[in-house]
Order: sequence, then structure tokens, then C-alpha cells
Amino acid sequence: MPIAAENLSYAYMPDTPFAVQALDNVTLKADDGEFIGIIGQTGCGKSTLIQQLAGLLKPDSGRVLLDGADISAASEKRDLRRKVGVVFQYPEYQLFEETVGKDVAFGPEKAGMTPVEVERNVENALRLVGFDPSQIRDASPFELSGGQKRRVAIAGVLATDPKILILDEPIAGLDPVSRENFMQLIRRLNEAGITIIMISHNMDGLAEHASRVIAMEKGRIVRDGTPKEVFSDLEGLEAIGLSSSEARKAGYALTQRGIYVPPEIITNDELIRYLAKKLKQEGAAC
Amino acid sequence: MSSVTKQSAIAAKNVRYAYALEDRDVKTALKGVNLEVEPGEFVAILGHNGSGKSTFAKQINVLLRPQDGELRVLGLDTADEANTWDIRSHAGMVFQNPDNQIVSTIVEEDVAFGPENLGVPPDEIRTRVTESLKAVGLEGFEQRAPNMLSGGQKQREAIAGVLAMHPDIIVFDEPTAMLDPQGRDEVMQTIRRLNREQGKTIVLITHYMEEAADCDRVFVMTDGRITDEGTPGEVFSHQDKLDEAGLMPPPATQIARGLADAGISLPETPVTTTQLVDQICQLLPKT
Amino acid sequence: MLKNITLGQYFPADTPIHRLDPRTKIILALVLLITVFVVRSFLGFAVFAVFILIAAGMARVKLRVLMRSVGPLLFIIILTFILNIFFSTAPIELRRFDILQLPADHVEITDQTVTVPADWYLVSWGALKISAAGLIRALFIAIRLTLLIMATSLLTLTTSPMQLTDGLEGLLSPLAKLHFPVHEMAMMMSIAMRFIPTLIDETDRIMKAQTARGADFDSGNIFRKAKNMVPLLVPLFVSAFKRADELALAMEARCYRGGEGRTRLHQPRMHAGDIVALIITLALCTALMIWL
Repeated sequence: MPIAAENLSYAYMPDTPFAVQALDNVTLKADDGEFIGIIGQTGCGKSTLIQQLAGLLKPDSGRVLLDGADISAASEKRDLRRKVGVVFQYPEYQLFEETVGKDVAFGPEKAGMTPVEVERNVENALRLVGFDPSQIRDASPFELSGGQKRRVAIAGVLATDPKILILDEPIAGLDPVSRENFMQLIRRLNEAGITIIMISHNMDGLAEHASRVIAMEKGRIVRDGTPKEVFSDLEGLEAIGLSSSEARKAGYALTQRGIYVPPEIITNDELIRYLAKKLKQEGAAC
Repeated sequence: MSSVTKQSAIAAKNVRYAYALEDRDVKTALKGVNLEVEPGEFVAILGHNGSGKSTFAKQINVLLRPQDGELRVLGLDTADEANTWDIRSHAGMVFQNPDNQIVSTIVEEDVAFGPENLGVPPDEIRTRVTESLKAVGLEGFEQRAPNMLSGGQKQREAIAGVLAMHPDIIVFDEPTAMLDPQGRDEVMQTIRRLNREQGKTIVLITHYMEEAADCDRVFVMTDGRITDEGTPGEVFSHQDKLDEAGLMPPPATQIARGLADAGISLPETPVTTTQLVDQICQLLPKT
Repeated sequence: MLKNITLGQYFPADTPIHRLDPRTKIILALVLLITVFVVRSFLGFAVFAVFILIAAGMARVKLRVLMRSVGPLLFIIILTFILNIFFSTAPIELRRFDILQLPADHVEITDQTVTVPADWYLVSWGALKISAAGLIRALFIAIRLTLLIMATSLLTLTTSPMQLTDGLEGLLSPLAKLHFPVHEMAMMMSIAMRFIPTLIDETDRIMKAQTARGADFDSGNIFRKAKNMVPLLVPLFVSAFKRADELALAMEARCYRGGEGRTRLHQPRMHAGDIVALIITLALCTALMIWL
């Protein structure tokens, strides 16, 4: 179920002195099973783009196609809401029900699932994010820790069985261990067939797990390629106010100091393997 | 003539603190914290969520008081209510959420809030506001509306608001957790400057090890106690203690460990990418 | 991105009116409000209107902007007008030397006044009658409401919400001696104003997040809609309380302990300009009220 944007343009507060052209003729297609990372400075339009893809904003011009069909044509958005799940920043702030079970069931119920289906999906979703359903389903969401709340919120989005999962900086505010766990979860979901479109500042995570990276600047897409293609160009990224993975930054600095590291080395493992070989060859002191 | 011992800025002896949970349960957040911070030092307290680091941070400016043990800030016992005002006016705190520290609709009024509370004369408040904004790199932002600022700018405004009170100590409770990389950079640079140029004693609470790389000393907190202490280099090389604390090493350290596993040992444990690069370069004969 | 909404539509500028102490402006607004309801001649209204226009000119407020502020209340003005035309049946007293010169055979004239009787009908359609008195009264009310809105707008257009709060706090501060919590109320108002844009943004965010889960905020009858608001209101309230908690902690950390002993960065002082504005306006309004 591919999702695509065609010549999408959108401005906030047009015709006022505060007008901002958030999206400027953006075209992009996400195929089944892709793991797309979107990077860009604050204000580049990435949040607006995913809101457009999720059908939460109407474009000024251009359109969004889900499985080839224009999403604005559908008078009822129910199908869209079920197939496209959206996790916003600090999703724990959307919890509202008395119990975890009820909150996670909100999406499936609105999607028109039968009680049996709802029950099953809630269980599965809670398990997916690492909970024991029987333990957690009757707890009040407001008594959980921040990390637990976030997992419940994500379960709520996963409970409708979305084919496409859009995430806006999902690991914001998390400590490093939780971040890693979360990226592992996303990877598992992707491996199970869910298309992932994720806004992130975590270059390392994207270098490791993404299949494609898109960089945005001032409402336009300025880079679109594999992580290797995008992250190897450190200078280009820095020129637009972005950065690359730590491994690439290390490789670049080493190259500058006379120890050549190929630009394609973008993950920690790659760097370790390359350096281990190279340093041993060149007789490094051990 | 007796020798003058320099008084610690912060001296915690066996500080204990517990709070009640919903279901009559009790969570002991601090189980006997011992640490000392010298005036002008830049220290970090590293710990996982739930380690008690935030609870301890709030003890320093008497938002909380120890239930057992003793905590002296600038020589004053925090348990004594009479000291609260003195301590709080000399030990400021910057919190995690930039928005929820800002009180006013105009930057200069928000920065003036602290001095106003202290009863500082209006002319001097004006001077302090201008100075503080300059010190955090927000010169000229006096008339701006805070909700139009970026996360990093808002957080720096919060820092200016604390600076305007002329504190000796500033505690930062996970100040960059909610910021994007640019904001994080801005804030960390500001913090370092405050320590270097103004000699402020800085206590940085964080779970990002990279932020502690420039500190004078690092404390590791696990489950309500200080489990390790030393210079960044020392602490970051104690892999077992870090693992026990649930702290994930930054990429540079992970790469170093990977190299060690592959048979290549670096002279020192790097925490930042720059340190990693330096260490690797030291291994090879100069080309 | 609704952060640019400013309460009461304050347009910052550097004019003599903007520079007036907010307390002065609040007092003047009150005086003008009282005056507009005491004045009872078209001439008086005209003088009043000219005064407002001069003040607006000094504040560099465009006439268009001033008139636009009447817009939202136009419906009420028209409704009141119509009600009064048809149903107002008491006689009305005007000033003798007014702009409007009425035919002597329908009205009672004395030295100072002209009284329009209740039974002088201009138009009769069966039961529906329009009396002259009714018409004049309707005009009075419509004009009074319009002038009232213009005067109030002039206040809010030239004074920021923060200044208004400070001004009110200043004027009410004597009440503090009676243990009325003036400072606390002013603090509450200014914090509320500070957070309105933030809460608006948050509402937008929560709505989008819940809409993405299938929530529907638009359809259904009024009971349905109310129930559908729960996924929006609960998180909003929970978040607002959290904010309040954290803000209180931050305020305490900055040594806040109520209004006692606090100084202010801005010490509003009345200047010569304020005295002049007060004298001129009071004099004019007194004259208007007595003679017109």
C-alpha cells in the first residue's frame, strides 16, 4: 500500500504578514515495507509533510495518494485513519481513558472493529510494545511512568493494524537506553511489513535501520537516497544545518588527520571493522 | 594562624528521602547520598530514570528537604527552615521543560521575575536583565514574546532568569532533554561558558554521557546512591559501574569498546567523537 | 501555529497615547464610558466622536481598524435599534440647541430642552407603529453602543494585555490593604495570558493526534459532540495541571513568595502627558455631560 505526495504545497497563515511557506511543491513516494527517515532543521516542513500524508491538513495545491487514490476524495476518513497510524511527539500526552485497555481500544473502536477484534488487537498491541496485557490493561494510564505511558500511546496507534506508521520524533525526551529499545521496536515492526516514515534527529539510529533517508530544507526535499548516500556527504549536510552519524563524523575527522576512512562508513560496526583491520595493518600499538 | 579550609559549595552526608505512592507504597528515592562539590566546580550527576537524580537536584535548592542525613549548601543546613531563603537565592535551578518555567509574556519581564522576588531595586533589575541576556547570547531579545522562541532560546531565557538572581550555584535538571540538537548545543555551550567565565558552580543532571565529558568531576547515581565518582575519564572507563547504572555509553565509547574487543585498545576511554579521533591518532606513528 | 493571536488586538507603536500610563487610560476609558451614556444630544455625540477620532489619529490607529472592532457587535446594535424603534413608547428629552431641529408643532419646547412626546407617530402599519421618540431613542442607543465600542477598542488597541493587568493592579492596589488579593489576581491574569498561545497550540496538537486515531470532533448532535470532546479535554486538563505544577516549582525556585517585598522592573509613573490627558478629557466630558 504505497503512500505518495504529489506536488504538495502548503502555507500557514497565508495573506498575513506572518505567512510561512511550509511545503513547496513536494513530491515523494513511499513503497511497501520501506523505512524512511526524514531529517531537517526545525521549521523545514517535515512535521507539515507528515500531517499532510496523514490527512490531517488540506494541501493548498497538489495531492496525497494512498494506494493510488486521492485521500481527499474519500468523504469518510475512517479507512485512512485505520491504515495510517500516526505517533506524534510526546504521544503520552494523548492518553485520556480510565484504563490502559480502554485507551488502546479507542482506535480500533473508532475504526469500526467488532468487540472480539478490538479485544484481540488491544492484546496484540500491548504485547508488541513489551507489556503483559493481563498486568497492564486495568491500570490507569496516568499512574504509569513516562516511558510506560509512551508505550501505551504507541500501542494505541498500533492497535488498528496500520500498514503505514508515521512517527514525529518518537524518541524525543527519552534516555539513551529507551531510545535504543524503541528503535529496535520500530525495526521489528518494519521487518513485519509495516512501512515506516519517521522524522528524527537521531542520525545514528537512521544510519543503522533506515532503508531511505530524506532531508528537507525550507519546505523542499533536498536529499533523497539510501542512508549511505545521504550520510556519507557530511559537508553537504552541515551546509544545510544538519549532521551525519557519529561514525561518519569520526571517519571524516580521521581522514582530515591523515587516517583515511571511506565516506561510505556510516555505522559504528562498519567503523569498528574498518579501523580494526586498518590499524592492525598499519602496525598500531595495541 | 589557623588554616582556612575552603567551604564546600554542596556537602551531602547520607541524605535519605522517600515519598509516598498512590497505593500506600513508599518509594525511597534517596538511600544515603554522599557527595561534595567545591565552589566553581562543574560536576555532572549521571543516572538512569528513577535513579533519584532529579530528587537530589531538588534538595539542593530546598524544594525538598532530607528526611535523614544532612545537606549543607554554601555552608547552610537545608533542614533549617530559616535558611531556605538564603540558600534559594544563591542556588538557582533550571528545569527540563523550557515552557513551564516562563512566567511572562515578554522576555525581559520573565528574566526580571527572580530579582523582583528578591526585592532588588528597579534600576539594578534593569542592569541585571541586560547582563543576563547577554551572558546567554540573547542580547536584544528583551521585548520578544517567549512563545515565539525556539526551544534552545527558551531554555537560555530560563537560564538568564536564574542568572539575574546572581546565584553562586546553578543546578540544571536534564536541561537538554526536550531540545533538538541545535538547542542542545546552544544550551551546553552556555552552561560551559557560565562555569568558565563567571565561575559559577554547576551541577548538571543528565543521562547523556557526552554532556558530562567536559566536567571537572562526574558522579554516577544508581538506585538512590552514588555508585561511582571521579573525573570523566575515570568514570567512563568503569564499564561495569555504568552498566549497573543502566547508562548507555555514547557512540564514541561504544566504538572504543568495539575496537578493544577487536584487539585494539585506546590509551584512554573517549566519550566524545573528538576524543575518539584524538585517541586513535595517538595509536599510529605520525604520518 | 496560532501563536500570533494577541488578546484584544494590541498594535504596538510609539505614540503619545501608547505612552500614557495604563492606569490613566483605564480611568479615561471609564470616564468616557460614563459620559457617553449621560450625553443626550446628537451634537454631544458628534463632539464625542470627534474626540475619539482625534485620539485615534494621535495613536495612529486607522479608522478602518476602529470601525472593524464594531463588527462583531453589529448584530446586537441592529437588534437593539429595531427593538427600540418599534417598542419604545416613552417620551424623550433632547437638548434645545441640538443639530436636529424638530417641527415645533409636534414637540414641547422649553429654554434648554425639547421633549418629543410618545404619541407622535411617523409611520403606522396597523399594529406596528414607529414613533419619533422611539426612533430617536433607537438612534441614541445605537450611537452610544458604537461610541462605547470605539472608546474601549482605543484602550485595548493601544495598551498591551500585560500593561492593562499592571494598570488594573496599580489602580486596585489600595484594596490590598483590605486584604483583597490584588497582586495574586494580577499574577494569575498575566500567567493565564502567557499560556493562552501555548494552550492553543497544545489543543491543536491533541486534536490532530486524536483525529489520527479516528476521533471525530465535527459530526453529531450536541450530546454527541460533548462526548467526543473527552479525548481532547482530558489530556488538555491533565497537561495543564502538569504545567501548573512545574511552573509553581520553577517560581518557587526563583524565590517567589507572593506579593510582599516584591519590586518591579517597570515602575509605572504618571508623567506630564498623563496629567494633561486627564485634565483635558475630564474637562471635556464634564462639559459634555452638563451641557450636551
